[in-house]
Amino acid sequence: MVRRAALALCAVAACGDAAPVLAPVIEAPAPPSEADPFPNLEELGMAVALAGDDRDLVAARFERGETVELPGIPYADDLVVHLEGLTGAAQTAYGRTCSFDLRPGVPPPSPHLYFARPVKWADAPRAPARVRIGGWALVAADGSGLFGGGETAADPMPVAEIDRFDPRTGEASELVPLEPRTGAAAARLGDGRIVIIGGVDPGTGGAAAFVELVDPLAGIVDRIDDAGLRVARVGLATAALADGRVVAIGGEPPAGGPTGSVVAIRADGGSLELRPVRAALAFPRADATATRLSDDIGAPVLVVGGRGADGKPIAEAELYKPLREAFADPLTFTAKLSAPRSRHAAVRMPDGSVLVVGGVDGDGVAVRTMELFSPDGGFAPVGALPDDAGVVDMSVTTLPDGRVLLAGGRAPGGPPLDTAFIARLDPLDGSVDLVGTDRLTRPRAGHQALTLCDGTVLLAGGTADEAPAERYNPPPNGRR
Amino acid sequence: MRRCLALAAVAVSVSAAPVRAAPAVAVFHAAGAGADVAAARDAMAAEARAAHVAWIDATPAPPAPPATGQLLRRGLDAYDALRFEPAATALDGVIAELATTGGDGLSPAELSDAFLYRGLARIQLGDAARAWDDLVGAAILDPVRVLDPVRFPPRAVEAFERARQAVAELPRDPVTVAAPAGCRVTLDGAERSSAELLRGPHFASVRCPGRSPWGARFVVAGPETITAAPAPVAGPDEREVLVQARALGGDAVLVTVTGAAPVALLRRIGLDGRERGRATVALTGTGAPQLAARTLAGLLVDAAPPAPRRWWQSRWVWAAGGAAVAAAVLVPIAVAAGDGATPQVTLRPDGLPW
Repeated sequence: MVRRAALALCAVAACGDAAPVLAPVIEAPAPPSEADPFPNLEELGMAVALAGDDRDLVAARFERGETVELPGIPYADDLVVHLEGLTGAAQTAYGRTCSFDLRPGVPPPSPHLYFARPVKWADAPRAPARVRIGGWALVAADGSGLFGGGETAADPMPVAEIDRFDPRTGEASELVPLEPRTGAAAARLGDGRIVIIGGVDPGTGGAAAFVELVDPLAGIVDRIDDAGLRVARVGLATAALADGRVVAIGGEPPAGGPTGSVVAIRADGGSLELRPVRAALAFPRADATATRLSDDIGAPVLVVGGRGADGKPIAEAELYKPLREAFADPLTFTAKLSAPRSRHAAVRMPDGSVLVVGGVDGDGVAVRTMELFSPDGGFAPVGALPDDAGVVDMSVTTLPDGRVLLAGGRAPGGPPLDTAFIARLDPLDGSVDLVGTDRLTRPRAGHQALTLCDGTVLLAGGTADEAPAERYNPPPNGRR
Repeated sequence: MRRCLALAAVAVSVSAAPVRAAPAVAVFHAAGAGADVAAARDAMAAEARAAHVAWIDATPAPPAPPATGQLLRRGLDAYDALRFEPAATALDGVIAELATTGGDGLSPAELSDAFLYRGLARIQLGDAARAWDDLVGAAILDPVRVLDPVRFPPRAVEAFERARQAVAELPRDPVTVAAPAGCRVTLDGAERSSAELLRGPHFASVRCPGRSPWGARFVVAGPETITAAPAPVAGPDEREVLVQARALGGDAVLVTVTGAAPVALLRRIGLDGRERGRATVALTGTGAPQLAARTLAGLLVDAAPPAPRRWWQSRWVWAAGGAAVAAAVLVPIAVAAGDGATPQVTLRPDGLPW
């Protein structure tokens, strides 16, 4: 009571002060990029809203030449600034900031806002430009994008550096380098740190007998010896569980066949626990995918595809149940791919189903059939990738509205491609629609992609020469 | 300025609203959970108390360790004191208990001792036939053991050596104990869930968080998989909790901790016995206690019915008082401040070519 009265008094006392200024920094692709938002723009619409809310707190429109200024922004947490460009009645450009807080007595931040034509790719010269093939990309707890692993394009050597791009400030930086290795997997633990496991130590040619723990906010890398070689494998699949743990499933040691073992990884304070669980895959495999089926604690993880000991793709999917630390009984869980594959991608769709795309069969031939897994119906074919879509080394990224962006990649043995497609669930019948979208600025395969906190997609690497990263402004539908 | 005043008056009047109504009851049950849930439990308890909800920790005491070890010690002491009859009787009790405890709490050497010393006591008592079975049993459990000729009489050393040689010819078979995740499994006193064992009688025990201890004696006659099914410790009795909740006039919240992870299942049960809400939350890891407390707070919202009110608990009395105080404070400030600028922020983009 007393505290609230004091707050009310403070609010009144502040009435006499000059209003602080929130100055978002507008970034836009430069001409002659087709994503340049300003040509032919007639009107700007600017709004401030709570993140994820369709209702504006404050909004106004400005004609060309008019001073763009919006007073009366309330103090609140999780605000975003939306900026739209209008030509006639049509929205021809859009951008929004990541969420930020406005608090009395604290200077307002200067959030960056990427403003571009929707459904367009454009070079992002300020974002990480280090070209790598086959690395990983993850979003850090603060919304920044991390790019690591992979090999250099010209003379394949492991890339040790981790590049970080913060879309809130537009700043790119480099973290402490890792130990060089190839084929490692990375996943984000519940406390925001990144665990990097497995792979091959190029110095010895053997399995990397260590694990690295990266704190991207503090810029610290801890190296933990894995003397028991519990995760010293390549081709393993990782999944971040809803309770903050990570499971590493399958994979194969550098000399030896695929394993079925599962290791639970958990960080607590300064210690990292690598604990082989009692469960094991019924079909030991490498190069499989592991997809968590929901965000609830205890949500099961679907293991799909991959190569078995005979080198052939495995049709049988397996379902790992983290609370029981066991796989579903194969007598009752019998989901099988109609087109067995490895080197594919799997992504969770908004209704909890899992879309499986691309990959190669046992003879190394491209698998273009897309299959959709649902817990009650198993796998069902839902169309095919077009001939000009990549089936291996492509990126698969979930957009803010739940649609999925497939970009680049290649046919087996083929050159990198610059095509991109958007897959979405048809809200009427649950089928999968696949439509083409803008082509990448250059062909890429083995690149890394992630969705940033401002809803744009940043894509880097995957080219034979030093090329800048590029950024995609998705269709604005549902971006709030 | 008028808007500022209105906002401030609203803030004051909102602050005059009464605190959450009278408490219900929250029951915490974490059978078998380790000390790592203590922080989350304490955070939830604090949250419940802050919401005036009775907090009951109904976690049962951990099961007492079996007394087999003490009984074995007594039997060995009696043998060392040359009191063979009491030694055999005490070791009879030990071996009878092993059938249900599976050797829980005994080391591999102690497990073998039970049979060895009973056999030696029976030799001294002239029961050679049954003594032979015991010595074979001891050798099956610990086939590499050799008796110290300084400590044991030559007759005993010789008999055990013969038993060992007989056992050495037995084949070995793979034995696996299948137990739920997170359990500690022992086979013949050693912590392991599978081993190649000599054919004959052996012992397995399983201890799991949240489950009763399980133990068994089994005879290996070929490759074996023994399925241990320790019964889960019963959770809090819902009816009993509801009786307490009804006595307090509110809903009940049951917090049951399960799994090796461990994870809490929170359920809010209404007075009519129906479930009104549920949530699961991990209890360990960075920030887990705060998350657990927030999750509980989410279930406690409006969980409790209002307590009998006194006149000073009426929101209207407080609102009137608050409004009077606000007016007394704000009006002079408003007069002094006049119609100044608003306290809000102005948005002015940087780098916009417009």
